[in-house]
Amino acid sequence: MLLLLLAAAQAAPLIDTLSSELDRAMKVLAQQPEPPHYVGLTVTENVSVNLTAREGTLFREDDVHQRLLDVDMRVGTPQLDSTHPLRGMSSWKAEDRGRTLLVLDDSADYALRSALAREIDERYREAAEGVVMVRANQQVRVDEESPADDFEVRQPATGSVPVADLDVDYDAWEQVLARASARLDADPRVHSSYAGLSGDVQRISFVDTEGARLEHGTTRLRVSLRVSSTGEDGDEIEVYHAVDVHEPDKLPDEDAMVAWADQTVAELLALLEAPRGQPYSGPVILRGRAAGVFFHEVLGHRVEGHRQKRDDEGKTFTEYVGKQILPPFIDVYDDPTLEQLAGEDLNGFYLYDSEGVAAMRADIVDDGLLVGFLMGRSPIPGFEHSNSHGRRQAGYAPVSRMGNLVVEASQTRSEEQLRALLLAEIRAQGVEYGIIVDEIGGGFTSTGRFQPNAFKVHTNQAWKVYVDGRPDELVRGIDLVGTPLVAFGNLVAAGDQPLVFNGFCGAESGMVPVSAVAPSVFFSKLEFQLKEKGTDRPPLLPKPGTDGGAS
Amino acid sequence: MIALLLTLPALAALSDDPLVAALIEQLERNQEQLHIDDAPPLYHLRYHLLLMDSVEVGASQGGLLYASHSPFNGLGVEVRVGAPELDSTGFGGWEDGMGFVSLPVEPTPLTVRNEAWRLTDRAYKEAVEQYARKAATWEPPPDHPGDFQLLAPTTAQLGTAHGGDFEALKQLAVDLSAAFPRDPALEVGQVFMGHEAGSQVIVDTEGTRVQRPRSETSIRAVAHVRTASGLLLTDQLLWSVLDPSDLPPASEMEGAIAAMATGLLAIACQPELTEEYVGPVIFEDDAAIQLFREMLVPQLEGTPPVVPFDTWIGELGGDLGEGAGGAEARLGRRVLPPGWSVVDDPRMDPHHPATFEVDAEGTPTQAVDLVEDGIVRQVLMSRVPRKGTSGTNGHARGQLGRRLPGRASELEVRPDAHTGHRKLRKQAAQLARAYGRDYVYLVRRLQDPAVFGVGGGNGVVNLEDVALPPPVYLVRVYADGREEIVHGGSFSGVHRWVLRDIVAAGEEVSGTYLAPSTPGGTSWDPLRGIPTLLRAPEVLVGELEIVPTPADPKDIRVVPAPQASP
Repeated sequence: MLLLLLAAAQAAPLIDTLSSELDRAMKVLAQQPEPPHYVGLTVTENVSVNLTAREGTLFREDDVHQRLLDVDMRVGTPQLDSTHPLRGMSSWKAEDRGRTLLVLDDSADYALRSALAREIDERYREAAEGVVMVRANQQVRVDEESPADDFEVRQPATGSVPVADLDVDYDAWEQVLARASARLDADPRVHSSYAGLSGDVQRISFVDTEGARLEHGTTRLRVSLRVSSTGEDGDEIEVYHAVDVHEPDKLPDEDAMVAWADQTVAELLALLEAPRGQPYSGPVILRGRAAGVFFHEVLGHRVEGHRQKRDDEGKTFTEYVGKQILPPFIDVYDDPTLEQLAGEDLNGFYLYDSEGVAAMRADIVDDGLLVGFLMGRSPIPGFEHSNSHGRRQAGYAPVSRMGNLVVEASQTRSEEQLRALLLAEIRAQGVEYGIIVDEIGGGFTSTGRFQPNAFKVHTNQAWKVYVDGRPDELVRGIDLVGTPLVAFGNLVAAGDQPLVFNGFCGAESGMVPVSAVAPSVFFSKLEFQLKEKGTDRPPLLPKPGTDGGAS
Repeated sequence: MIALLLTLPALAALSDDPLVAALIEQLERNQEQLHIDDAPPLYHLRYHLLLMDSVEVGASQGGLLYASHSPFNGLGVEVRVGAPELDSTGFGGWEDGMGFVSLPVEPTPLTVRNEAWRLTDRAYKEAVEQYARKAATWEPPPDHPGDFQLLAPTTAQLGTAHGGDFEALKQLAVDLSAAFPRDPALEVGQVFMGHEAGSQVIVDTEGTRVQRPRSETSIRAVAHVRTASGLLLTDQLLWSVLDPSDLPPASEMEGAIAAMATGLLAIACQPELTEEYVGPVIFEDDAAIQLFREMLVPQLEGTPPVVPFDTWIGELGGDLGEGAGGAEARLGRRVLPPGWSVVDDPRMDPHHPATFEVDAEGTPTQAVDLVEDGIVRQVLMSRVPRKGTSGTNGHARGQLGRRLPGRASELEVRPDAHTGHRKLRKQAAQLARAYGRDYVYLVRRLQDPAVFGVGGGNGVVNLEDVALPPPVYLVRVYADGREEIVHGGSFSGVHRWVLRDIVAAGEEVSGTYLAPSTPGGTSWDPLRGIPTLLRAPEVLVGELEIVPTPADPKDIRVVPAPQASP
């Protein structure tokens, strides 16, 4: 009897509760005049700790533990459902989908189930209204340029991969960060700085009406340093560096942190002294990480599957399948199954995407030919199947996104050879100098039709390279800009050392962790424009306790 | 001029605090050295050093949604350039010489110095430009009362409040949330708890050196119920106390939550209001507090609105601007029936979270006789002058790093005479006869906009006219004493003059609410706001209009809530 009572008191696992609530809801929804053809429930549980230290002391310590619910509801048929993009006035309809918190304790069974039922109900009623508009939209508007089904029906995936807690000595890290932050702040020319560590465990539970049942997740740690200052010309200059790893034992030790802090400050001071660059067009080398971000912005976003079917998208590469878009020595693929590459952990690693598809490699460019797109479960003509790139941040509907975008070259050059190519091209074009970009700070691109179909890569460290024997000259205040087809047409050679950029990418489905891995690449011509500049004078008084000069 | 030395012996200790000493060092440095050629002088600089322990918890029907416990430390600055007669403040736009930044969870003198340096540099530059914008585009009227009141310094060390037990508070929120009944019609049954305790240090260039305690523990229980026709009804309970030990016993709060939710479920089962009613309305219990809170208090907060800055995106500031305030103040006008009076005294209840000895600008507070014989004689003031007033009365409250307006704290509305429930109803019935009715409406509680957004924001009800939110508890009271509860009514066309139409006052009731941080605004968050105590009588209003709230059948749930486990 006692044993029975104990068993009764034990909470059902979250995934069982999701399954049973989905089943219960479907019994009702199946009887509706417009039943859903698909419902997916995802609970994203985040346990994260964020530490920030400034000026030798702990600045913030945030412990976050939350569970967020996503209900992906599709009313209609897989061919045409409520998620279909609307055109015209109908596209202005309000969407209430947002962050839905769930209780953290599985034993609070009623609270959990009632919140699930409420969210399923709300998403259903919204989708049932939506599909009416979708159908009318189809009747009234012209045929779409790239008609395709709205959803790929798949065999359900099942799996349970335990996700361990992060074993981090955060108390010890507080001290490490405090000391590193003191190091960052020591120079009076540094106006603001911090050292940070974030540890994030994400556990995902997923069930759907096809029978999928998945438990998986990721662990991530990021240690970062940031310093900033204001130049005499008002330029807000900052240097930000981060290291992303999956396990605590890969984090840098204190000595490495201190050395890293010194290097970061040195970079800032060099930039403070550096002149601002000028608008430029000419030969350019993008070193590995910069090249990775370049491919992410210029190619990666343009091969996201859903962008090939929306009529408001630029569709730069939609009709290029089987055609040359890059030199024949370049391959590009996206492989979220890669946990590491080039000796570094990759941010874009995952086991299953947000639509319950097991992670797999997606080939994009083979020998310079476009061979595929990043696909979620939204088919496009000629590409009917997901390749596990349907991704989202909790609270958003998934769309196709990058994971680990990898650029490989079958013909490579050493860094010295690339530089020689650069110098030769400077001479051939008769320009004063070429540019080598070492560090970038992210970027963005516009893939639609209203805005220019252009990209911008924020350049943090760029060097002017002269052919007359002058040493390379660091410049600031310029960003790489351009349009994709012209830029790719000017790619001449690639280096032999891939480097990893780890970051977070924001798009329609929120922020997702990504990586871009690429060797250095040489372009015969790229363009730079002036970076936006601050207008504030440097502080009127010196930093307290200093005379404002160099330490 | 106000000069106060509250605790001289303790003053040395405040200055000895290394963080305060670092702040004063920066105050003096900036006062002496911060300068731009040909710019108007910096004549007033004030810092607010906030050192708090902060807890936030959310719980739903017996389960924890989130919990956080961390220090909340910050530094606020107010820079004024020009002269008290005309300075850089009180003009629209956000670059106004004021600001607030977070301080480390473990602040050091170095971090205080550096943050003060960064913050003040920015604020000073903003103030210089703001002064130029204001002087270039606005001509003060001849009777402009000035922009700031210089005062003799205040020195006071009133101590600090100590934080509560995080685990105990978390468990309390979860336990309270378990008190909601497990009823399928209850869409939301959540409890939110906010707790903060610590101190605020105020130092300025006039020599003010004040440390005052700050503490508040607020618990808001929120229920949303869906009616059969699709209407969403909301109700809530708020406990706001100085210290967690001042909370009622958990069992008492659990009982109140269960009763509130059960009551709301019962209301949802009652008939919907179908008629348009014009006639007398009785405001009982919390409804009386909400009536005065919404319709009276804005008329008593006197800080004038900021002068609008005409920009290409429209006017910034004016009646709707950040920290505007005072737009509705009715100095010298009748706001209540003859014989009524209103007083605000932040020391009326020294155990209430609205209490203070010294206001947020460091001014010793005073009791203020706001209304006499129904007419506004004084208004609540900070150090921002208003024509027709004699300056601050120590009621500056609000968000640090913003312009601090005069706000209500502990307010008492006193009628000329009280009458009992029975007589109030009898009088109402007599009035109703003039409208050809044998019944009146009685309201016991109004919905609170602060909880409309809970549970995904689906509680937003009838917000076209939030002058007075819709009733929760609306009762049709017949002349023979019968009562019929109805739901789905909203007030229509309510104007502040409704208070002049009060016919009779009943028994005194008391309530606490969290006022929006911006005067005249609306708080949409269950925990954000300034605790305010209001004592007022239940009242009979001669005429009000109540109309049906239309239900949308599209809001009727398709997927039913789960049944509770046995």
